[in-house]
Amino acid sequence: MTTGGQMPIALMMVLEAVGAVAAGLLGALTGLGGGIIIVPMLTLLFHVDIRYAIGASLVSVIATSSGAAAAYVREGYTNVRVGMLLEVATTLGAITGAFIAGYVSTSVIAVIFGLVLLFSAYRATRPLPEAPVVAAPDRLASWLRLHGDYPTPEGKRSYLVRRVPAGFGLMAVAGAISGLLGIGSGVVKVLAMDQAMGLPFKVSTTTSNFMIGVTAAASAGVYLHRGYLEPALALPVMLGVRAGALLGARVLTGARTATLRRIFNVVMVVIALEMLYKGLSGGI
Amino acid sequence: MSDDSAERPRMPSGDEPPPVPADDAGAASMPPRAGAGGREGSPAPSARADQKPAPHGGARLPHRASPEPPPVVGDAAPIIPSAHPARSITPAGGRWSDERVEAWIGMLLRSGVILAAIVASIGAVFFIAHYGARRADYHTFRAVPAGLDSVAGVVAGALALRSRWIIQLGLLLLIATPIARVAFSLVAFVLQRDRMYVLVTALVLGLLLFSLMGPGF
Repeated sequence: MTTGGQMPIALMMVLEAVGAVAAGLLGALTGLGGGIIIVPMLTLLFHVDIRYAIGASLVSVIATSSGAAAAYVREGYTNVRVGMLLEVATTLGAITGAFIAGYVSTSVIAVIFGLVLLFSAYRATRPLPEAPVVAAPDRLASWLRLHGDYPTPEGKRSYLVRRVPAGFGLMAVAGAISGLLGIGSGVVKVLAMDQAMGLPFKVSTTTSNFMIGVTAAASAGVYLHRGYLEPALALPVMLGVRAGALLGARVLTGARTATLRRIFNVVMVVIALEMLYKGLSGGI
Repeated sequence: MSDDSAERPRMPSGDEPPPVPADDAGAASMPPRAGAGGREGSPAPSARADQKPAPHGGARLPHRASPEPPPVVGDAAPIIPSAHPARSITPAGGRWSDERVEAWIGMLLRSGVILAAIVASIGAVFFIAHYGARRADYHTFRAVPAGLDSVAGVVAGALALRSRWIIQLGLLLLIATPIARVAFSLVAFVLQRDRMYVLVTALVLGLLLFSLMGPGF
């Protein structure tokens, strides 16, 4: 594998697609999405420049998000108003992040990536604390008509939304991370909606999923003009991650995956440390 | 928000004039629905306590404290069967109800991803046939060739049947999918006469188009 730069293009595309299927599976397993594995895989294993890796990862993020959102949206969990309002923050953040990515060294990006990966691994092991139920209607949220409801087996259940500015700010950060690193940053998005704004967990995750694609599309434009989108690299990644996510959603359900997830968390920490090391030593 | 002035007159209450589906107007002004069995309906602690043991209710919605990961990706994550009794009897129906719009959006997203994958894969077949044996060298970043880095250039190259450009066109179709989704939401908000969200959505769409079609950075 260390000769990744030397193999024929066709072979590289095939190996990349195989790796991307694994990344998609792991993404579905942990709920982190495939993007966060793709960049380390391409840079550490295939020795691809991190800018191409970020471009390819971002494209796969859009495929995963749109594919999954297609299923979720019909079920009525997604809060379109919350999503759209917060997308103002994520798209602004994403364009800014993608812009900054062109002006910082690849080592800095690798270090930031390692840190975000560590944080995500940490988050994945810790269930979020139960966010207090919003009891009184928040004025700003009411004015923006953000309150909603979602289906349960007993019928629709309504919920109230609060702390819109805090959620908006966190979303801008999520967007910037997404644009800078080519990942979906769903972890931060869910934190913003679930913990800060008090949306029910299921609504947060599905709305986050819907937003990830839009956020990624915002950075994708910048990446396109910068020449980060290399079709021969991005295509196998996109197809592979999507296939892996589909497969993962089908086979990786149930409690048996708990051990797998724990193992994978260790792997993520190792990858994060290697990204940090490579970044700090100038290897990337 | 930039829509401040336009919306200010309506600010005191969330009540909207008739064109807005009853569903939305209600959500804003009227706090909890008594019949919805909502957590907010009764004073918090007791509402929550009697909500948990619900025999079939808790089973499908992932509980926060469970070891299950958040279903951020994955299509088949626990989803309640699509025939929600409450949904079908909702009087808020209407041609442009949120539910209908969401159903169309779901279809749009799915078709976009599939179309993108097909176009890009066709390009890939020809690309591999022609260049598959060449040595891959993506270790050094050189930015993709001119023409492959703009929407107009990609379309032109794809029309000239250049394989790498056809793949890129597929990727652009994929990027366009969430953008089309936002455009679709914009139309829906216009038809719902929801001025505030027309402005919000137009702003998002503008940012997306600026990024994709803009002068570059």
